[in-house]
Amino acid sequence: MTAGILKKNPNKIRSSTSRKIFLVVTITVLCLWSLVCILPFVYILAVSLSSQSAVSAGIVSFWPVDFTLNSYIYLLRQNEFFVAFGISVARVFVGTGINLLVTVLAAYPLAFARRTLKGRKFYVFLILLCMFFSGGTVPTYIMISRIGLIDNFLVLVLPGALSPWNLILFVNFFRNVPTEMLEAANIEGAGDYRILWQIVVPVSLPILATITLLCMVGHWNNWFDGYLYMDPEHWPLQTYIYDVMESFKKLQYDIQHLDPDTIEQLQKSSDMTLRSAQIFIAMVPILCVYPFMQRYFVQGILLGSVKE
Amino acid sequence: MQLRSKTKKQLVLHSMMLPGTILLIVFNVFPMIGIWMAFSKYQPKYGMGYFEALFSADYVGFAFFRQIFSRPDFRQVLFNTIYISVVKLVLLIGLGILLSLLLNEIPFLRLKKGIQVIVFIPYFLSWVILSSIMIDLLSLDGPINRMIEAFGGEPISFLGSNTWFPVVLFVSELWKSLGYQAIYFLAAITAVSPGLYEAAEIDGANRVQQCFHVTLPCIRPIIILMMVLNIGNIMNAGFEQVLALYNSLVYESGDIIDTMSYRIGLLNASTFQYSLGTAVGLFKSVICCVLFGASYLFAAKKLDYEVL
Repeated sequence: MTAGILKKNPNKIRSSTSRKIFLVVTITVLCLWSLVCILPFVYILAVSLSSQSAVSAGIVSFWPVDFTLNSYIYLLRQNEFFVAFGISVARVFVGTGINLLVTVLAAYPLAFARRTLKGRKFYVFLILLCMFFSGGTVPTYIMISRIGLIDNFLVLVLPGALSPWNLILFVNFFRNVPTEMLEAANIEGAGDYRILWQIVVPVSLPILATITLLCMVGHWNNWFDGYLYMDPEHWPLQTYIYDVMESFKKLQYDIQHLDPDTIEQLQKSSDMTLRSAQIFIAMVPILCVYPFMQRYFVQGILLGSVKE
Repeated sequence: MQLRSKTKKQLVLHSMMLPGTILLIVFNVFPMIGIWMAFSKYQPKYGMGYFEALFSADYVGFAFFRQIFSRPDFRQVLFNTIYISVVKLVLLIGLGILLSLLLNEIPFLRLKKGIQVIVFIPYFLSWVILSSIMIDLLSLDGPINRMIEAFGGEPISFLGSNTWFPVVLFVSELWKSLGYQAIYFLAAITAVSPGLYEAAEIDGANRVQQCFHVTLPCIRPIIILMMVLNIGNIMNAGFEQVLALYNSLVYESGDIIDTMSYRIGLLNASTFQYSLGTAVGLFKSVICCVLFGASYLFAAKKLDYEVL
């Protein structure tokens, strides 16, 4: 059918110059967009490494002016920043562990005991319900405060532990595991837990890696739950940065409603070089795992959504 | 004997489902029951459990909904939500296809890979980080405004003006998600059989014609699926993004249903704030749920999409 359309407007001699121009334009456009994507980060890094006076004079662009490590040294001495960093690291590891454990456990019966699992309909209904409907921020907040999880580390790792989407990815992957292997193990007398840990999990490493990375990034990046449920001294790093950013925003756009004392305090805490250093430090862990993520994530996209 | 082992097997399977089920019930279903707040004069009372306080409140029917619908700003907020999410969706899908087609044209593997790596980075950073950087770049004495001044223009308060704020939302969304979107489509493009291109080339089609008559028709199902599945997201205009970027100057153009519910329900201490905030959230959840359900049913029936 396509061939028929093409025959009507044949393009017999493909000139190599027009092809070259086409390529040059394509590459230029793509490189420009890449620059747009990456230059803001270069700017932030340059500011964090420049002196305060150079920054406020507005002469820093993509290279540090008056190179100094002052802002990083200052941050090293700041206790709050360290605590926030530590809480973020803790939630990444504990949270990801819980996520994986809960999701893998729930995916096994759904994938391998499709017909035998009694009450499967109930589970599927529950999962779909949570996928398509939510109580909203306010009832969730009230519920969590009522069961006493305010300012409790668990509130950062438990509520989102079973993501229906990740569960679906696991179930779909598990279904492609050859059942002969499981049956053989079953005849040998291995129980379901053993089959799960010793056969299913080892052959599911690609999806495990993908979801592990996704969960880690998700936990590292999550700031809203910290802001909502935790006291300021137990904020994770991203929440801490959000708060610093809020004070900067107030200075920029709300200054007429503030009294002079607050303004002075806000100005001190939202110094540009310092903020840039904080932002950059919060980016570093992501950039470190990024090479792995790039590979596994594309795999994850293929596994999850693009089906033939 | 046979019977006993069968019961045991069931028990083992259910024990695997147990942790996930408990988490979903406590952190997702309990808040759904909390929706009752929207229909009653809920007030937190000391010494009462979550459900006790919930069901001891006086039933008022749809009074809170009427109160919300009669608010002067509600219509604007509803419009903002739909407008922002629709424009984002169109931009992301349109430019995502364009970017993926351009990437597909590059014959140099290294360059192609490099560009993919760069444009994908912002997707993994949180809105706090990206917004902090945006706010720095766009502040009145920030680099963008310095550039505008260097060219003789007047500095623009991008985040304090109702004309510019939606643009900032769109651009920052593209910055974060365009790379992801493009790589998603690129994955579909690479799955197109090379034989089709060879056939088209024999028929004399140039690159642009190949793109319109081979690539695009081949990835059309995925584009349609993506659009259909995103219809349910129309009430989600990006809570974290808006919350991180907006300020009181741009409520008119940037306030969306989620931020409104959060502000009314959890930030403003007024009477029955919880009930009001829940009502706003519920209004959104119901529409979302209906749209999601409809779009997934459509996708399952017409596009062979399988959820679970």
